[in-house]
Amino acid sequence: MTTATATPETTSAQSTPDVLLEVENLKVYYDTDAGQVKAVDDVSFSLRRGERMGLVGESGSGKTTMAMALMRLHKPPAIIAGGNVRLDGVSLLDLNEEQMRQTRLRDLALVPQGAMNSLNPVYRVRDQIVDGIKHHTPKGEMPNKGVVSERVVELLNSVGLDGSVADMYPHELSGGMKQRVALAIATSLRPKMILADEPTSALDVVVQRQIMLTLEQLQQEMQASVLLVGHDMGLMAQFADVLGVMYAGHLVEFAPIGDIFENPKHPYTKKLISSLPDIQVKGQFTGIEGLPPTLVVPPPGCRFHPRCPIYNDDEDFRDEFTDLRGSLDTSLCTTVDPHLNEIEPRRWVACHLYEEGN
Amino acid sequence: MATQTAERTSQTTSNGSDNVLELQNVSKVFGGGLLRRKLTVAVDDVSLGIPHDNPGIIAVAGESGSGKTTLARLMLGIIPPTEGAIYFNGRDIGSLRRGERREFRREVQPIMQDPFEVYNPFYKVDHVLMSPVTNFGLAQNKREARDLVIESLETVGLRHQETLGRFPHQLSGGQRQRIMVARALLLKPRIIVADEPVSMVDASLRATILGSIDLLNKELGIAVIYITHDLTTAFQISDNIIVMYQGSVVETGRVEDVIQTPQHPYTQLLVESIPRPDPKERWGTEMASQETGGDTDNLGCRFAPRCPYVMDECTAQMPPLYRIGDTQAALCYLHRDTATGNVQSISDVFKTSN
Repeated sequence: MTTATATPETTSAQSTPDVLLEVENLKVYYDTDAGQVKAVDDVSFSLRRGERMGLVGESGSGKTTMAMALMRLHKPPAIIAGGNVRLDGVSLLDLNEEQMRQTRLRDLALVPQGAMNSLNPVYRVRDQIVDGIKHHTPKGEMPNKGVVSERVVELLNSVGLDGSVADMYPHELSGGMKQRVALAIATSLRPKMILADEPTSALDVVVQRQIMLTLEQLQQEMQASVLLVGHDMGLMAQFADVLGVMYAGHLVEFAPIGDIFENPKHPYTKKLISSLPDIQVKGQFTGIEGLPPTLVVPPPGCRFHPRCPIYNDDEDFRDEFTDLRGSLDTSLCTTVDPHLNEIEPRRWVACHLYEEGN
Repeated sequence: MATQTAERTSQTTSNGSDNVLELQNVSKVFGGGLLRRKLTVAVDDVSLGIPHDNPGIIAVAGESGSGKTTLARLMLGIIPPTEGAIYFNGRDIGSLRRGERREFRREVQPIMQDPFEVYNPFYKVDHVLMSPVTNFGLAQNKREARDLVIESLETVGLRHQETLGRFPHQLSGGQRQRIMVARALLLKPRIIVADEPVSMVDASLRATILGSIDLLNKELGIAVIYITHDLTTAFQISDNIIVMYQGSVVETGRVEDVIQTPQHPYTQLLVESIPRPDPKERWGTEMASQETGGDTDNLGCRFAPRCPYVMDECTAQMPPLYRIGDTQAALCYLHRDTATGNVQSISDVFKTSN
């Protein structure tokens, strides 16, 4: 792997297509009394400029921890124990605190989980937007008041709000409007990348669609990339171009969204897709049996094997992956943690069914 | 506001129907006191019967503020209606005698949204299961009580070795929620009112919990009122559905009809907004009409300010529930000319299972 250069214009030699974000072997660990928890363990993927990526997983799979670590906003006892994060060629883990602060919002902005509660109740919307701009703009580059004021109205309009909202307090706004304000703040400095962590989880479906369409509009207009963290596969199908699937701290599959839905490679993804309820066919109550493992003492080998329909030779799953399972040595599943391999261009999967030599 | 029907005035505290639970022109209005002058009509003129035989699963769907939780609380007898009456086995639940009230409490059981909140963290989960057994005298002795508890745990797919003797925080969210189902089951109620039972759990557990609720209905014939904001699970689990918007029942009927061919503009908007788990079927990019604050000045349809088809009469007077076919009804003037009459009680258009 090439070493990162610190100038934004140069991308690393590896990334031939226009790669914006490169995550390499990222490890985020928690030190707890019960032992070390490997919440994010050896995760690698890359995201292209202007691309929308979804990241799904059960609660506790490490998706939020990873998103926070990308912004270096992870909280103790979490530590980044290894790996690389490059945004437009800049190695984020090598920046000092001040440089990182300048990067946030300007290059990499966050729409937080429950963004509606992230607004300060005692400040007007205008002050909160201006505050963000001020805080993340280098000294001396701050435009004058009139320009900023115009920018606030422009931003509010861009998220579908009237300019008069600038003079309102958060309690005067509905949940959907607060979420729009959070979008306005996140896009105020036209970042290269937007990280959105379950941005619509507290909103009803009608408002959810409006917010997601607004985010999509902004993203396309700015040609920014988006990382959308969540657990709703429906939302991912509607929004994402590529999807990453996390299980117990590992990224187990990464592929274009259409491929994931049409032809999932990892048994976990396969189960996830086949258990999605829809409004076409009734009577789908199949979940994924068992519980996600504890990360203090993860299962040996593949972390999914205790629940894996292939390893456990699940009757309802006999017809799946028939061409691959014949040559699968299931003793590997309990002993060797599978690697995330690129089995086809842009199709990454971590499963012994696809390991070299199988 | 609720218009009292002639039928209602002839009722005394008893009505001779075959319904376990019956709501007659029930409305609930909040506010109007000295401090909160503004009236909020949380539930507006709902009539509904839950029959003794083949009660099925009824979903009540709507966004927050639609009145669905208020409707659940009315059915559970937690709050009294402002207008209209609720009958349990033909008797007004507002004037039940002590023994009858006890029976009502046992026969109509709640399952709440966040299973963690109903537990006392200092008691083992056994407490939450044993207390109904003791309170309602379900067992002769301790051994029999324990057997009952174990049996109910097994019905919802839990092993007693993994649950009894533990504290609430030692169990997963899915286990806690299933214990609540097991608890409801112990009392062998006629009706279970489940308020957003799966909104706090992961997708993989959601299926298991919905499965156990389905089992209560199919195997034990318990009527289930499933309160939710999620139309997909409502479609999956229920036989009939009630869609609410700002206190009004805007559409109701057989769940397949309502979800697959919605007739009220609000239901249409809701269904269109469901994020389909299919990337080839991306949702339309036209922006749906903006949400508005709750305004109660409007005398007519509450959805009118957002409705793309709004007409003059919509804001002047509330439309009736027009019957569309045998198993569907919508509260919308668009159906005035084609409707086959008006629906008095919501359950008139319910599909009776089997």
